[in-house]
Amino acid sequence: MSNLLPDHFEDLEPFVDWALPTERERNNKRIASTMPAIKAFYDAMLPRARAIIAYLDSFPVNEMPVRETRLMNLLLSLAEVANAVEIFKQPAVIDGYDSRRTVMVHEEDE
Amino acid sequence: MTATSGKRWSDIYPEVGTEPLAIDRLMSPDFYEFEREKIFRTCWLCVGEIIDLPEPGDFLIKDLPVCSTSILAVRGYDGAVHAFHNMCSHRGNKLAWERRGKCVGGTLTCKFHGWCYDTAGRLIAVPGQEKFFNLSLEDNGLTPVATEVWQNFIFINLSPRPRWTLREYLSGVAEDLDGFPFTRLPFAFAYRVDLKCNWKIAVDAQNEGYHAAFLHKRTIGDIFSSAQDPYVDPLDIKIYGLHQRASLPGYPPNSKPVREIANEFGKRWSMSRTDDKLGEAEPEDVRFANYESMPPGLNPTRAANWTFDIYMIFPNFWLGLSNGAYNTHQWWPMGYDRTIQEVRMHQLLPRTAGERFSWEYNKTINRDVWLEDFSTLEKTWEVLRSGAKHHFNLQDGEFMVRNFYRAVNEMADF
Repeated sequence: MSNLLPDHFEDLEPFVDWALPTERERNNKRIASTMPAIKAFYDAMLPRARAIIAYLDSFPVNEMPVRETRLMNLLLSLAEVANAVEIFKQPAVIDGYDSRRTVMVHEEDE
Repeated sequence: MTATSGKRWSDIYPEVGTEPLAIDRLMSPDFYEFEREKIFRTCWLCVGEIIDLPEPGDFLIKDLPVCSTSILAVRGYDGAVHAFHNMCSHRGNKLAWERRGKCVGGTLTCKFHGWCYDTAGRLIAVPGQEKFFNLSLEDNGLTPVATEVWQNFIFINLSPRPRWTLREYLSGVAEDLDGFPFTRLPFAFAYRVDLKCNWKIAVDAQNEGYHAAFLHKRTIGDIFSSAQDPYVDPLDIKIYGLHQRASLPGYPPNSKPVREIANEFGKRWSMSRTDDKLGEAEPEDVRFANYESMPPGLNPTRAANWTFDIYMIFPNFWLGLSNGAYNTHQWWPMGYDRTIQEVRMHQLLPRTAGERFSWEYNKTINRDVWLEDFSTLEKTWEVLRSGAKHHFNLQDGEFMVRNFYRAVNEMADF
């Protein structure tokens, strides 16, 4: 079985279920996950973030190959869960409006 | 109170008043019927953006249940934007159903019986026309609505004889923002929510900074409030007839691990507008190099700690302008107790993976902050009509809220 992620990032493969292509999916996973699961993902990704960016910066941002796209989507999930770890200390916005009722217009079909 | 003069905003604009705001009538079903007629069928409404209609034949629709209609806006072959009620002359079927599209062959055809219109709204073909009784195609084109464009924004007016041209309606605002690069900042992202509350409760939430230190204490309280200025008193306020502007200060944000990485790769999307907004290398046509080159209505006081300006265009079009980006809020009443709100961001798009990461992080912060903003609205509505309270008690810095209700009452009683 070929690697799901580019070479040198195999250590992140246990978290490949966070490699989701849309904000709607990434937010759904953030809300549905436990804090330990989110923290484990965050702790694995944060020290690798600069290395991931340095590697992916050599690809066109909107046209990456499959493995690089997965890696980019992992990075986007780091952006999604950052607030859960750094601000709210829980998956959802504290006392916030339910994000599942929020339509991501930029991802809607016209 | 203004920091410079020590005067209260209510002293500078006494017409806005200081009395508690009576709310029972404002939030009633009867008042909503007034608003539908005297506000939404009278005022100019923004229904779309011209960057969505680049070519002749491009169209968009905006459903307006508040006015019992749907609007079709088309880029004509004359280059201008024309708007019509989106309603076939035959038996009233909605003509275009897609939110956006192209008039193939320069025509739009009704799905029901094939009646065919051109981009000027003319009825050009009726299948089986000979079976009708003296049907005049010329008299049965689409019903036009007054349409004018300001900057990126397509406005319509449903009054058969609008009280104002759009330029008159936006008098003062258009001049103060002349030169702001609205059409050069692409659409970036947007969120839409369906709220169980009266539209005005949702508007109020965007029109004061008093809540920043409380509702947003975990997210952006550090950016907007400080020990010296805990309640986000505006730098400046200006009234333009029905419309108004407030210019807001800000402060450098607290550091967070992911925020530090994001700022390293794309400071331009930082929510803290004080983050080097003048200095960063940018395409010249979307950012002002210094305060003096800005339009008079952007950072009007030329304050060093300026973050962004709110322009509230009555009744339901809010703009937040910063240097190199802007966002909008719109509220569309669906009933006296239901509102669709859409918030849209316009900013340069990411070009690299690092920028894409920074952009995503800042989008998420924005979104989580708006989730905080939306959190009080339905809960307020649950109790607002209990009869337990009859007034809002509003402070001097909640000026825009008091002034908005002044405009609402003025239009409803006109």
